[in-house]
Amino acid sequence: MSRSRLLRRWLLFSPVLAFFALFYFYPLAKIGLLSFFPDSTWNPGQLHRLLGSPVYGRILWFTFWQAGLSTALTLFAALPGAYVFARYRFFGKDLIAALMTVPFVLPTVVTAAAFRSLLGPHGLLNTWLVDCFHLAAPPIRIDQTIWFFLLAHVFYNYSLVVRIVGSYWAGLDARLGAAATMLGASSRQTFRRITLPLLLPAIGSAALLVFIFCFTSFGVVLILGGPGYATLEVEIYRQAVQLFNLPMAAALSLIQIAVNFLLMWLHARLSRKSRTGFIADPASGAAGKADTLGRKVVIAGNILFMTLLLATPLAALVLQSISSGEGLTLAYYRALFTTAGNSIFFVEPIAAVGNSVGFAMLAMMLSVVAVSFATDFLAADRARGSSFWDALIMLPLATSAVTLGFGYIVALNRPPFDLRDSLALVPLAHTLVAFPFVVRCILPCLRQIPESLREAATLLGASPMSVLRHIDLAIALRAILVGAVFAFSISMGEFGASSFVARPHAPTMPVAIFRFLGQPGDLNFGQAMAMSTILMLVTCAGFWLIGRLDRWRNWPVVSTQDKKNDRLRI
Amino acid sequence: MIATHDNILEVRHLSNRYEGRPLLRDVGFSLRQGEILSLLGPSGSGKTTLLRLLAGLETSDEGTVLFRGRDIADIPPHRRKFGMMFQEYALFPHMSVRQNVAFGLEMLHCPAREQAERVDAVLGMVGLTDFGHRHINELSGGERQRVALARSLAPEPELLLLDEPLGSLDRILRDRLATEIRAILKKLGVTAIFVTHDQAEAFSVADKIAVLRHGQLQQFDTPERLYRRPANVTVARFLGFTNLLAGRLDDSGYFQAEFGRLPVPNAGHAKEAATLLLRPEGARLRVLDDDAADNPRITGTVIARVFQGGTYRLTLQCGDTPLSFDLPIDPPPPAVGEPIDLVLNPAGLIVIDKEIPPPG
Repeated sequence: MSRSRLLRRWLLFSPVLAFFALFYFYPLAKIGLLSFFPDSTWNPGQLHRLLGSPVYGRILWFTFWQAGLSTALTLFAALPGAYVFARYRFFGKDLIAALMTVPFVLPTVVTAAAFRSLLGPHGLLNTWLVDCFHLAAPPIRIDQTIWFFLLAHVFYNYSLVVRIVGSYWAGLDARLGAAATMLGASSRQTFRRITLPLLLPAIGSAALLVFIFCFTSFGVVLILGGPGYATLEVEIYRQAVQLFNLPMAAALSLIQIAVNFLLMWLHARLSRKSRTGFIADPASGAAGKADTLGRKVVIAGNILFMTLLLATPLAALVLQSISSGEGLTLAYYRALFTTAGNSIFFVEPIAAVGNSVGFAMLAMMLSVVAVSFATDFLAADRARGSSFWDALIMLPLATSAVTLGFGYIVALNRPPFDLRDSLALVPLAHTLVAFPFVVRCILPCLRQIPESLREAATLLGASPMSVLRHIDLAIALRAILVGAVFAFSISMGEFGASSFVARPHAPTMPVAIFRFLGQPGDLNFGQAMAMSTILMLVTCAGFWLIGRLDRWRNWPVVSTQDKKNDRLRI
Repeated sequence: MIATHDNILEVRHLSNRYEGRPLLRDVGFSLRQGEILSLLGPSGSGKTTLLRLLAGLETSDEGTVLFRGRDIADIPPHRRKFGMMFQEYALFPHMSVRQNVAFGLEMLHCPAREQAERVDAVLGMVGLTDFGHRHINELSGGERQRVALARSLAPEPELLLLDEPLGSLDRILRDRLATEIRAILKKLGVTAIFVTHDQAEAFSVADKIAVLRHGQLQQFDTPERLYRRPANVTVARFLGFTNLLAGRLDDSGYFQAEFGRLPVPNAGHAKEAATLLLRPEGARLRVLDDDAADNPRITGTVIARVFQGGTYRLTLQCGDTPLSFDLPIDPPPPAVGEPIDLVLNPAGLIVIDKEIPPPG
């Protein structure tokens, strides 16, 4: 490679590195400093006290425990679904598959709102039961209990497991099962000896991913669990925002960072392993129609379960947003446009929509530009140490947004980087959160372009700029668009970091929903539902657009498998 | 049809459809103990479907399959004691070579010691004595093929089904392994049915060949008879014959083609619409004072001459139809553009039926 080309790559890559240094590593380092030097002096005693304290031991234990239980429940519910999806064709499969993408893309705050609208004290189900049986109090008292957010975790991760395990299962060479049958194995023996061992890597990988998501769960635990429960993330938020105990929050963040990196490293190893070559072409694992009554019952049961789990909370959310005690109404939507009698906002709530869209546009542009700068460097010479840089820029994936947001408020609050009161923190945080996803959209596509195409274009007389325009950009355009919409949707729904860095007078939609949900009264609840519905529609539209773009023309196929398996942590 | 006791397998009027599309139409044949049958046909001809029906992996819509005189429709595939070797082998990727081969024996609850002996024996037979502890990923294509064969042979199946067993190998390896498979199957006396789309492979392995096209059985015969007397144009084309003349056979034993007539001995009854097949190796250059003066002759102009090593492939224009023949390199045949005079071997002229139209 020519020296000038190398120089160009580094020149383009260095702003991205600087961005990472300032808005990722510096805040994290500051957290580390704060936990070891709480008063600008070496005082690891704080961390010691913390680790020794039974309270925080309990929080850590609870975080692990609820994540483990959530994972077990999710697997228990989702594995039959994965089987049904992998092995059978049935009426409405495409529709359910589409429905299953919704939890992937639903902001956590919306999920929490949806579950409260269905099962909360004033939820649809309780209201209905009270009306029907003339009860004095709502019979379902699940709000502010662990079961409420466990249920939300199952909702969130169900489709993740169905997708990972199901597609892996469908991709398993069906002839392996047939081979075992021909060697005399019954269907039970075939499952135990062949199918299950081959599925284990996928199940393990999915389980670990679910565990990670539940371990770092923030929004649903904070809202649905109430003050009685705290995972590490929630406790960081409480210590920092409610108790202003920054050193304590920093120490907790440090633990969170360490555990997160460990889990993500494990997952990276496991998923690399599970990709070893026994996945045949999809055609060989063709799904069939159910032929026996037993199988039909299994399929119907699973469809019913999926519909109940996935559709009812969302339906309840929409329904609650347009109905009051008297019947159908748009009052809650109208209320979003007024400030009167509303003490929790300085501006009319609908401004949050404008804020969110603005931040999301900024984050989208920033992340696409940053990724474009980085990909030229990353797509080139993979052989030499580029996996190190790959791993480096994927680090934000292994860092919880809450930690990032906390890092921003402790690090970027004094000169020369006094951005504390600046609105810029929100799009910057969102850019970092979206960055790994955008990389995953664009980079594989660029790497798939054979060098010979560029060489052919050069020999046909194209200058380096026209090669970039006519080859790289032309082929990767769709991937870049997908990445952009992805970044936009992530930013729209992001809550963890926003809960720290959003200014009170400029809330984003998730922050506004969170504040509405924290206030008593029908009007607040109704407005939360209304705004959640809007946010749900916006994010779903974004991901619908991604789906359309993916199928758009017969352009070189961008592998979308990877990014679909990362659920958004928003 | 009456079941005879020498026939181990009888297939009668077998039909199958998939989503309304017929895959097999009224297929019937029988097989004796120890015979090797090749199901030959282009892709989509229904040969793999037929194999999977016999295995019990698919169910037929009509027809019966008798094995040792017994209808096997109600026996689930894992109880049929049929072995199957899959396309691309379907070796269990999470098991070693040894575990793969032992799997069928384990399913029979075979005692461990007997299992070990049997596994050693079959691995030895396929020439993989020291490969037992290898992992599947470490094997080459040819080695995988041998493991798959060993695995399907280990439980001593009563009928071995092979689905394109050599399909993914290169030409040289294919030829060698085809001969080896035949030798092993014959040594063990296994009754076997194997699917292929390669006629050379079918000829070198099989005792009987069933040619399938569009789900219909076109011909069921020994390889030699199949080559000598293809039943119809479909079979002839599939075997690679290109010299096919349309015309009619009159009752004096002459075939009337568009450019003239040729005597065809033993052609049978007169036919209004028939096809004459001229086998490419059944011709030689006519020399002066030829002794075989009454043999049929054909004249024309050479339009192509391709040197093929041992022979020339010579194409001559004869009326509207180009005909190709393989001629020895000595004496050298005339060059392109020159006239040519050929003497045909009467045995190389066969009157066959017209093409069977595809169903639907």
